[in-house]
Amino acid sequence: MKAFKAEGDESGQGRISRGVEISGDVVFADSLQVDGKVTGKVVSESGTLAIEQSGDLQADIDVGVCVIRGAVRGNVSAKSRVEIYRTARVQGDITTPVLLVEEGAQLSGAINMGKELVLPRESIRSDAAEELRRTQGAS
Amino acid sequence: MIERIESFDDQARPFRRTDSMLEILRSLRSRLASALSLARQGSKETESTPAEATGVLNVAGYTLVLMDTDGQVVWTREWDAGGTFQFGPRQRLWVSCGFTNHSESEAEISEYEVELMGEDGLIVERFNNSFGDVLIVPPGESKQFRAEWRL
Repeated sequence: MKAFKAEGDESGQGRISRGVEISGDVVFADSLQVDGKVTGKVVSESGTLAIEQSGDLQADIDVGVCVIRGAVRGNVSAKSRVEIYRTARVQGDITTPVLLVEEGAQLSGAINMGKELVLPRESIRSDAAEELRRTQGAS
Repeated sequence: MIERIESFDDQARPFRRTDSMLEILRSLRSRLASALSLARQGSKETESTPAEATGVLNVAGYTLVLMDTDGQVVWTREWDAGGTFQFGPRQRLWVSCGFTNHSESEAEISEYEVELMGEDGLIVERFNNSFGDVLIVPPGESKQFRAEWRL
C-alpha cells in the first residue's frame, strides 16, 4: 500500500494503532493519532497529528498542529504549532510559528520560526482585555 | 509620705506617657511595615494568579501589539491557536508573529507585545520587548516579532 487516507469515523479522528506499520503518504483531515509506525509522508491542511509514545515516524510531516510524544525522524512543518513533550525524540528540522517544548525532550535539528501564523482572528478584543492593557500600560 | 509618692508619680507620668507614645509609634510602624509587606506579596500573587493557581495556562490565541515611540498602539492583530492547548510548568513556549507593512509609508516601531489569550479572550500571559532604536519597516516588507515564556 503506497497511499493511505485516514478518513476516520464520524468524528473525523483517525488512528494508526500500535503494531501497525504504514509505508507511503498519509493524508488526513481533522486529527490522526499514531501509536504505530509510519514511513513516508504525513500531510493535513489544518488537522492535528498526535504521535504517541509508541509512535515512530520516519516521515516528513506537514500538518496544522503536531503533538509529539514519540519518535520522529524527518522534517516537521506545522501551520499552527508544534508541541514536543519529554518522551519525544525528534531528528529533523522544525518549521512553525509556535513551538512548545517540555524539559527532557530530545530535539536534534534546526528550528525555523519564520513561518507566519495563518489563522487570524477577526473578532475585536474584549473590553476587559483592553482595560487590562490600558491599566498596565499606564503603570 | 503618700503625698511624696503622689508627687513623684506626677513627675514621672509625663515620661511614662512619652515611653508609651514611643511604643505606640513603634507598634504602628511595625504594623504598617507588615501590612505593606503583605500588600506587596499579595500584589505579586495577584499578578501571577493565572499561572500559579492552576499551574497550567489554557491558550487559545495570540495577539501582536506594535507601539510607536509614544507608546501608542499603531497596529494589532489576533491569531487563533488552532485549538486550545495547555502551557504548564517545565515547558517553554516560543511564539513568532508576523507583521507586513501594507501601507505606503514606513512603519516606525519602538516596542511590541505578544499576548497569550485564553478561551474567554482575556490575556493570560504577556511578553514585552522594546528596541533601543526605532525599528523601521518599509512599505511591503515583513518583520517577525518573537516572544518566549517559561512557567
